[in-house]
Amino acid sequence: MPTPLSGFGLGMRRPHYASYLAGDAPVDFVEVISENFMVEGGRPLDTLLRVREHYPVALHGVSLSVGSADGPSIDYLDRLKTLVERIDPAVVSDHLCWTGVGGFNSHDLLPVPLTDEALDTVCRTIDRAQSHLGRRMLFENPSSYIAFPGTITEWDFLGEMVRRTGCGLLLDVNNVFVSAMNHAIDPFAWLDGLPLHAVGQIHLAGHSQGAHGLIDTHDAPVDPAVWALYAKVIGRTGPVPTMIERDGNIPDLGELLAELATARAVVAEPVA
Amino acid sequence: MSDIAPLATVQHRFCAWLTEPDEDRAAELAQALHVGPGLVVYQNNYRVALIDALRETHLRAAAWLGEAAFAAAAARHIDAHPPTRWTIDAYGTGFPEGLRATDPVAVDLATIDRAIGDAFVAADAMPAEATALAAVDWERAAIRPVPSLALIPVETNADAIWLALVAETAVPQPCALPGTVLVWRQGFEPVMRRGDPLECRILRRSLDGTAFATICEDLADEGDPEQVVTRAGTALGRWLGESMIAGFD
Repeated sequence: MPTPLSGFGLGMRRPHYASYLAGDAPVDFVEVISENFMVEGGRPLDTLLRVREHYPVALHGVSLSVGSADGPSIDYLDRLKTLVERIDPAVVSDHLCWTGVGGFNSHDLLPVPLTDEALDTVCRTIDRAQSHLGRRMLFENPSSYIAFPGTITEWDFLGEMVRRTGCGLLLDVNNVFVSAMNHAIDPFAWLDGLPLHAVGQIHLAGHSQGAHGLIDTHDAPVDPAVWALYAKVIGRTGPVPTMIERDGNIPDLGELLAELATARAVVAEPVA
Repeated sequence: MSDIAPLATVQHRFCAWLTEPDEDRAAELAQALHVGPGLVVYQNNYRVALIDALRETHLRAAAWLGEAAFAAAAARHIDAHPPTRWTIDAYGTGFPEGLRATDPVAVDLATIDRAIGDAFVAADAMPAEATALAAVDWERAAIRPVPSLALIPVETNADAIWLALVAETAVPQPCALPGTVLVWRQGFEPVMRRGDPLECRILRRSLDGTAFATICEDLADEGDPEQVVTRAGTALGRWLGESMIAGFD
């Protein structure tokens, strides 16, 4: 059994590799993008294996494409399984999204039309992936910029997905905020609908204002409104492994650790 | 629950819109999705991610061409060749060839960029030591190069330009210089050098699993047998010293 994830972590990004390799970054776990390490060999895998000696690792994928009408790629699942066996991660996660269909792959997290048919497809693929890997996975709520007409709410969709497949939820609090703002919904009401009992990990990140709404850019500090939502979640769930995602304008490790200290403070004094 | 089209239909329509290079046609396709103006975020994400991926894979070609020319070439490639693999790192097959009309040096630089990137994450292998030669049955043995080895045909002196761009030293004048560049990994570091025609012929056939003795016999038919064996043996010694050989099968 892999070590369970706990505490507070960061996404492992190249500028900070030396600290993780030395084991002197004061975090409880690191998360990496699975696909970056689904390779044959070389320095990236060696780096991850050496970091793994110091920290539990969460594998976070972007290409399982659970919402694709085509179903999963067996080659992808085989490669992911190989990585899981090499790393023995604490958590394996991906997103509620699809990335392509008919042999095309957009390499973006595209929005799933939240229909009964899509729910069947998503659950079938999650069942297949969890069975292939022999372990429970977590799936992240996406940030969305559009809504297909005549579909159910994302929180109901996620609740049913969790119930049917037994998977967990990787709750991205920033994504809740971004999606809620873009769809003019109260983010606290959005949270209330989610299956919070299934949350196995939390992501915090920054966003920016785009021409058509908020965009989940991961290139800025966590917004105060997102911290308020996070406090609300922790008040409901109790401590959940939490991490900061930063993919653009990556600051010094110290700045990210300061943000992580804010998360620690929220958990230390949760809102009722 | 809804009157939305079947999932596969919606997704095929979405992808048709996402990959449509013609703005007017894309606007028509977007309207048919009935999802609002936020759709443009996905189009921006798609193109930016692919251009970034092409640039990251072909850094020296990008530096050689300059941002505007590289971005234009990347945009043409994205329109003509939408991605199909699950890993974005694999995106860009055929991209170097697409630069031929722009700049033959850029073609070679981009090909070397890709080969270096592939070598960086190729399977690991312990290089064979020269002491291993004594135990080899040369009647039957085939040389097994390290998995990262690739033989890259080039038409120009792009290998020298590539190295100068990396070292940030004076870039040589571009010129025609057909040949083969050997790319492989020493430890975790990709390396490259020009291969001479004889060693390239031996390495190519070794990669196919042909026995070293057979390769030497075939080469001997074309020239002085003794000289061929001597040169092949010298090349083998050099490869062993350069960590290019994983073993003997």
